[in-house]
Amino acid sequence: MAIALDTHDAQCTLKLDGEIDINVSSELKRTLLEMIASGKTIQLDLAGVSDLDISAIQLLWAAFHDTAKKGVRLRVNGPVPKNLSRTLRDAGFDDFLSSARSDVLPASSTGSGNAR
Amino acid sequence: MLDKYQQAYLEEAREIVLELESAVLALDKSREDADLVARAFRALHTIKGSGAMFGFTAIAEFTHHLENAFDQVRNRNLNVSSELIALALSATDQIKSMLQEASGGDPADAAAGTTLLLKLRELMGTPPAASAPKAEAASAPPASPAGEEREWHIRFSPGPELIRYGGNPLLLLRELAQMGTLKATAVTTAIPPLGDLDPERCYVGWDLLLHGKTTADAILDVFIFVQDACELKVEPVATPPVELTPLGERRRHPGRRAYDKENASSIRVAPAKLDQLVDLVGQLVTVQAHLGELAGRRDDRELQAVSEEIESLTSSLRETSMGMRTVPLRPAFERFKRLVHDLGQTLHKDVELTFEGADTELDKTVIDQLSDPLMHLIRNSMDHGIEPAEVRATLGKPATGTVHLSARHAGAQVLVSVSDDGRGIDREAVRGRALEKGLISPDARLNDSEVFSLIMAPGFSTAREVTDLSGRGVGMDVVRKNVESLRGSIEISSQPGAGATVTLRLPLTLAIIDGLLVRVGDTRFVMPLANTVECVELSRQDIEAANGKHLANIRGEIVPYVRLSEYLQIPGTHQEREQVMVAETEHGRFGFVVDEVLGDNQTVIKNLGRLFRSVTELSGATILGDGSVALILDLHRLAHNVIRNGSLHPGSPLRGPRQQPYQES
Repeated sequence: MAIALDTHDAQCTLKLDGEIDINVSSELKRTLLEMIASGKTIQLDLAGVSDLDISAIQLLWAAFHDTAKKGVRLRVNGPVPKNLSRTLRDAGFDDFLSSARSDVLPASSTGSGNAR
Repeated sequence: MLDKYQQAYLEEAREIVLELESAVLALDKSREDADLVARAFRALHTIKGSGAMFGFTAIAEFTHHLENAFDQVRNRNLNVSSELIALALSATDQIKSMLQEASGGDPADAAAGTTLLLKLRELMGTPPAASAPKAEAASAPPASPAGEEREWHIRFSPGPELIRYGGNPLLLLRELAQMGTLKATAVTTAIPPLGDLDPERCYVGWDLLLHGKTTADAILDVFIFVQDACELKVEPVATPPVELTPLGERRRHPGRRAYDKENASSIRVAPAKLDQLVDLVGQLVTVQAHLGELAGRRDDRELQAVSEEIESLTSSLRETSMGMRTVPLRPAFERFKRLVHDLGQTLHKDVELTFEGADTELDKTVIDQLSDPLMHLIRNSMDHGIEPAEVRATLGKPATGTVHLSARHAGAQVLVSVSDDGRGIDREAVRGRALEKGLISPDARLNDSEVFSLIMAPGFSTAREVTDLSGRGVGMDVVRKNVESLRGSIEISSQPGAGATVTLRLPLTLAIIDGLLVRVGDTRFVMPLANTVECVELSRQDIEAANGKHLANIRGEIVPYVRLSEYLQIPGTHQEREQVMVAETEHGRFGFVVDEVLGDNQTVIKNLGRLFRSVTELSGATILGDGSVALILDLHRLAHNVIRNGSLHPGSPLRGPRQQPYQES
């Protein structure tokens, strides 16, 4: 199972493993919605991820913005494998990663069509 | 289970592999031709790219390495050598078996694939890797052809369906990143709130800045597999935008036909569906015949008008549906280039394969079944016909032998012939061998064509030794059987020392023909309308004037004829004036005396059963409007047999006048 959810009192950790792609994207969406609905702080553990495809990236991106709007915190916790940072950078989502790690929302990239 | 896109890929890839093979073979002949290198490269790039896109990673990985080799050739870092050609051809075979495996066929030989890749690496000067290539390789780009160093602005919005069908836009970005320095910015405005997001839909677009020595074409090449499903704009930064032709119009390369916009207006249909259509039309024709017959019997003008209208509609429907099944012979011919190349190497003979009339169209079913016979004939020509180079030199013949494939229409038939400029068929050897085998009697007097047709007898072979290729004496027998099962015939001619020609005469279609319904006694027969020329009447005086010989004088031309009632032993009605149907046959014009010409008839051909196998004068049967059966006459055969029997005398192949054909459905 590539998606594992671990819930504690005030926070829950979503641990992703292996290849996170279109094959598991429906499951990932369901899990993210559940977590956001719980109102708890969300920790995202990407340490075991070997690859993310665009369907997964856009889900995480949407989740990050949804939580920000609702005042729920979503953070990327722990190390991020090098090739994953590279994938995100190549895909033009490097802002997302740094924002998700620093607790600060990405600059208002949604409207401009240019996230930089 | 493959989805329809994957199936379409496999189908497409099989065609592209053939294109690749033909490019490689042509490259073997002219090794400096940059266009051919580009053709091969493009074919490989398409197989790889779409393969990766549709989830056939093994195929994509394997192809990637060969693509790299051709990229090096393209950039003049690698020469086209015989080794490269041989490797490329073996790799083509490997891709073919991998495609076969992906479609549920036998598994491809993975070890052979690895060996090929290792050899390829050696050839390219890269040390062989310890392990099999990684999946990463599939996404590696074609090295970009050098261009001026500059910055490009690329706007790329994949269509919403791209990832659902297995596309991966990130791979495209990665490919671009390897062409220079890439700065990617995701355009995320279209991503909806999580709750509304369809996880299988792509909402992201990209603004990309690429800095490197590349060209607009090379950048567009990266997107060739997704061009129909995305919006794309490429322009150089800080200079006026270059004129870019839309992707769809930019390329007209056969290797990528499927991706051309132009072809978006045509659709692929499974042959089985066309067969079904033709089957239904066949049934419709039969029912229409019944209706016509009914309308004819009743004195009802309205019914007759409707029946005539339906008849004309059925006729157009028939022509249209039959037309859908005809395809040009060229792809079938092209396929033999590889055979000739490989055989040439095995036999140490330099042989060129030439075509004529390759655009002649023929029913697809016929073409499919023609492949084996043609292969046998080409093998025979190369093995037995074309002499070794030394012998050719002493004979003053060019060192390179020629095998020539030609096709042309002749009435309702197509003539496909295989000829060579080899030693020809040794008439005496064939005769001697036939005597040995007891196929003919020592005093048999046979003409050339009859002698040559002996080589099609089962188990006949004049080859001194049996080789891997031919000479086992099964080939020609198989050719004959295959061609006869297509209701075709074979003619062989040969000039000693100058070569031999084998001509296959095949019907244009196997399903429905225009026929002429005639009556002999109480029996009705159908003559293929395309063979018939005219109908003339002979009076008693005319017949007597010929002194009992069956020869008619038609406007000064002497035409032999046969009375079908005599030949088929059907009690006919003696008439004062005889009706002679004159037909164009292999033996020139020939007349067939019938009792009555009943009119034209759309004839749905039904196969005759095994009982009728030896009755060569019949090519099938059909069901008439009143439900009765009429036999279809093979006029070529009939004329041939009449002439061969040495007379225009009875010697009936049919023992009774009214045999009911056994229907094979």
